[in-house]
Amino acid sequence: MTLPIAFEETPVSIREGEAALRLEGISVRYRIRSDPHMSLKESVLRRHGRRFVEHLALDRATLTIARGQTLGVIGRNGSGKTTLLNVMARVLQPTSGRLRIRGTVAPLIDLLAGFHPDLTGRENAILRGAFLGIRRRVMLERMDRIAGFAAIGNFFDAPLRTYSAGMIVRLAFAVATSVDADILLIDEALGVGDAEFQARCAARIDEFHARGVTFVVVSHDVQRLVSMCDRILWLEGGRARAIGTPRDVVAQYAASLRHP
Amino acid sequence: MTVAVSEYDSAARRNRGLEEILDLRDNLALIGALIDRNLKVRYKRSALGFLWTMVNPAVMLVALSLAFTRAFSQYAPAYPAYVFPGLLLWNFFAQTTTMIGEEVAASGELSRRVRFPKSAIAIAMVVSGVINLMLGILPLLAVLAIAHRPLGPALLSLPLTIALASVFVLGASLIVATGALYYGDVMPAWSMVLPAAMLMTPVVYPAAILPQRVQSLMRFNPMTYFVDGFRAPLYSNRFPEGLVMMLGIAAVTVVIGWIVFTRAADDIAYRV
Repeated sequence: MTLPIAFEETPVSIREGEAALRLEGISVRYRIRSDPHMSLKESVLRRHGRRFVEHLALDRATLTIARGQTLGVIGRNGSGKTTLLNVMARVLQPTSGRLRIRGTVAPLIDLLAGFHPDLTGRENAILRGAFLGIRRRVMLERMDRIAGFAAIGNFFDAPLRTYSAGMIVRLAFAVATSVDADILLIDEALGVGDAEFQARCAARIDEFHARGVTFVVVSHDVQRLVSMCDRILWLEGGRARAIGTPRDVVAQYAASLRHP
Repeated sequence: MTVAVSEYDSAARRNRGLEEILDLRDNLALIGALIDRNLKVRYKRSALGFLWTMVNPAVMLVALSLAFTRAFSQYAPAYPAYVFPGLLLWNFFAQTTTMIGEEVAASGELSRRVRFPKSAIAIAMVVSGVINLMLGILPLLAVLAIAHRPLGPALLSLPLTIALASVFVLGASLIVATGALYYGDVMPAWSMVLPAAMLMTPVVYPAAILPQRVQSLMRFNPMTYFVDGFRAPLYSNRFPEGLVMMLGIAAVTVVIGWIVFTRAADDIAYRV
């Protein structure tokens, strides 16, 4: 049995109370069915056959993220980045290990989750807020700010199915970032919208940063990560290949891409 | 600024079924928003809108009345007044279980994106179903008035019967939905079972027309108690007899449904 390269041997001078997220030996083992919705007949007939392929998406991940810190996560497709975010978002129950979270988590993993095409932007904002655990009254108070940030004019009160792809993203981002969370989990999808909107997104993220919000950002945009992260984690095959200061890790990662 | 910080520790997880209940308590806003969505979306793109809730049973009522009023006149005089309550309650059961099964089976994508108590989907759908059922009572009262059925204090039992039926429907839906999570055949099978089960329940005909042996078999059908109980005050102006049975059936069903569903719920996000 090969031991994983430890995600992190010693939490970098983080006292217990200052940790926002702490993962201890978290493993995620997917059991991928050859056919996800197997029929009853098949499952009876193939009772003794092999029904799953096992895949270890995260291998004993141990990691501490301090409050206010920004952690970037890089790695090739299928290296476990999204699985790691999903575990932190508590969307995925890990197969083993312990997860501790201090503060409220807002996942910006898929901005469109929970939207309904027949509801208006305003109605969808309330629904999406509810999925994030925010009361209707609070969402109504924030509605002007959301409408202002999305800047989609009268479409805000039109059904979502009439929106362009860009308008949906604007609405989704406006709703997602109206949340008062302590920990924000972001998956790459942020490089969307026109230049002006992207600039406003970046400004919004800076604002969060200044408030001491903890970030975990998964991205392929390595340069952007270097500029915004305190540390970078490089995942490969569900294990940490490296973790450390952005420049070091990114340099190693770039080298591996050149000489695989 | 010192606000109570929410803390989560996976090592401190309690019993899964209890945890879901606590999780729901923190997510009442979600249940409300889902009910709102269900009601808004249901008839959003139709000209009749909410009237469809009443049109649907009304069409069946007319067809059944034309077919059976004469045939069942001996055991169920004023047949439209007999069949309407049963239809409403049966539709509540059939539609709610089907819609919950389908929505839960399709919620894998959403479950991989946001964390929420999955039972909120089921609870919101049951409440939406109850609202539809209550709207259906309005035309029912009109039919009862036309048929000169006497109404009295027995009507006070309706809220209790509806509440018990809702608990039973929730439990049954959770069981069906758990099956639908694992097997693609469950919902097609359920849509086949439902019409057959309706014929095994005294909805369109009075139980008295059946041979004694079949009538005693019907006691094993839980829906018999709820349909009879719902119809008793409306059609016969008497209190339901099977309240204790209803209570027992509802409690057992919801407990079983809750346990199997919450065990399976963590698995939803894994179904890739």
